[in-house]
Amino acid sequence: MRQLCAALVLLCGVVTLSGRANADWPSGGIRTVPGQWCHTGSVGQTYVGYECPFMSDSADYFAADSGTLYADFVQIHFSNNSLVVSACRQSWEGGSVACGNGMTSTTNGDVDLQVSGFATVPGTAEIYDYFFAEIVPAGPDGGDAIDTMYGIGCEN
Amino acid sequence: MSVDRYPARSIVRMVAPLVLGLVGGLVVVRFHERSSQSSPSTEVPVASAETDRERGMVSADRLRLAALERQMSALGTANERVPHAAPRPERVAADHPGPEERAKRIKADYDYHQKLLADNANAARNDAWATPMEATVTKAFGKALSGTKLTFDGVDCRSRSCAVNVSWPSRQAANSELRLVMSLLAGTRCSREVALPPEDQTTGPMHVSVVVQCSTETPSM
Repeated sequence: MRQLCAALVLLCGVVTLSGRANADWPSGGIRTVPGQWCHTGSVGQTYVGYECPFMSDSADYFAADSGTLYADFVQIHFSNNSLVVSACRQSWEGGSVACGNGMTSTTNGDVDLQVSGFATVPGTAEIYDYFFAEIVPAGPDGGDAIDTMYGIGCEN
Repeated sequence: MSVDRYPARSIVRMVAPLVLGLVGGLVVVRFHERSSQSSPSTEVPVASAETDRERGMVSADRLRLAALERQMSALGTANERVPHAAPRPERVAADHPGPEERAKRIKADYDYHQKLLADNANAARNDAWATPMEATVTKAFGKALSGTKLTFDGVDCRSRSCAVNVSWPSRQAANSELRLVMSLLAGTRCSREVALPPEDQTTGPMHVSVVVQCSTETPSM
């Protein structure tokens, strides 16, 4: 019986790790908000990419902040060095913003990108801060966009 | 509408599959319990599974389990290769933040920011890296910014960091467009940080510098 349970647990683990693309994001831990993965950011008429708010089931974001982020999306309209994904944090009072190193998607189609997590964002984190990921077109034509967004999760 | 003249038979027809399923499930559970008792260790090496097969026991589950364990081990190794480039930030829990906590937080962030700016100002300039990075930053702000109140006032890069000078007509405008500045500088693929000064130190236009810090692996663009 114990082996049966162990096999089921292992199977779930393997599915979670290897079948990340196109899968529902697991509950628990820090991750983007289900159902409102990302929204298009713009100022006036200027398109500035996507902003993906993060949430946690507990008030303690720090339980998972040392992990790597995994951005999972589909990008059909692709140019070289097109989309840059970064983990960012804005202070709860709004007066400071910091982002970690950006990672660039290098393929079209299904993209499963590893991004430096919130632990690499400069400065001091507090529990009420706003955690988000930004996905910004950085290619020469600026026309790259996400066709389907599955989500961004964090794994320790 | 049909009327069932033999309700007892109908009940038997409905219940029989359930009973059979229950009995079958119990048999399967018993079988797995006996399999577990025959092997005291939870580790399932392939050699052990081979022995079970010779005994005539069903070992497909054990083989599958061993394969899954190998896959998990491989995935764990892959995750260990992910680098963490910078030290973890300090953790602070701010309970029930009020005006005093707000002022304290703004000052702490600003002091940290000023230190980063000082580090950049004191760093030696490496033209081979700084010049193309300054061009990259300038080009990023040269994109259409219609509808924004942001003004780009120049950039000063050194060896692996830059101070990007921007301004807004008011603190309120700065607050609403701080995240926009982060997006505009994402193409550098470097970490970025900006903090507004304490509220009692500024009135009127807001001049700030964004600190861009690049790792040694970051190519100049």
